[in-house]
Amino acid sequence: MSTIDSNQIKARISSTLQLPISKLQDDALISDLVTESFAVIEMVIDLQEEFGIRLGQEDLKELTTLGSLTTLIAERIAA
Amino acid sequence: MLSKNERWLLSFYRTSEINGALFFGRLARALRPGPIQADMTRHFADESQHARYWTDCITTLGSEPLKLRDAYQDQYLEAGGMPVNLMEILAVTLVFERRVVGQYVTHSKVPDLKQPIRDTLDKIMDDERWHVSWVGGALKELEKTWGEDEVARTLKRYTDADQEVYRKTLAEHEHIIGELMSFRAK
Repeated sequence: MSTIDSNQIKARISSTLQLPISKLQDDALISDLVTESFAVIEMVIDLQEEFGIRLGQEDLKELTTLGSLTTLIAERIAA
Repeated sequence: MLSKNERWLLSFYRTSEINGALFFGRLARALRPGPIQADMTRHFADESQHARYWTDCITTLGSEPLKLRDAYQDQYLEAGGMPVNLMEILAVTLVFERRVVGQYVTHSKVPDLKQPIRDTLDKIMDDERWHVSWVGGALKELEKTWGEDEVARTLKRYTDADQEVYRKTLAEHEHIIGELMSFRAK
């Protein structure tokens, strides 16, 4: 079981999206941060590949904020 | 010389190849080392070459590519939903590549097809057949992780989406595609 904190996950997202970490606040809407569909796809694929986890449609359906995404990722890593 | 409709269709192919290359390039960048990373990298390089082949074909025939934004596969996201994992990426890719092969095979049967177009189709088809093969194989392998049923459901979702997109595309561009492919009705 591994633990990764949200800052490490945000660092990864920052690198993929080329956004400063200061913009990646927990309450930021993903749709505001990432306006292009293919960028969203790249981000979620990169997170799964980087942290060795799997995500499905149901996992991401209700996610709207960055904080909810990083929490989900951290939970999957720890599982 | 290219007719207006031929110029549009070849430009549409070119744009789809460019958009495919950009998409697969991003994925190749995101994948961890392994066979899928290697094959995805080759796949994206092929797509960008195909865009170059269509560009060369159009200019050889005395014209220039139209600047089009929308590509065929862009509509898949709306119709089938955004793929959110590697299995779904490969599923939508397999469906799309099969559509591409089908379209290029149909186009190659147009009577009196201009030789540069035929040559371009022949060159691209070799790569496209490999695309279908590697993606199909990788998806089969992922059945071990995701389960056969989940993969089959995902393929069906994107196949249904493709049929809807194809229908809409044909309807929207009937005056172009219909004219060029009219030999099929004979």
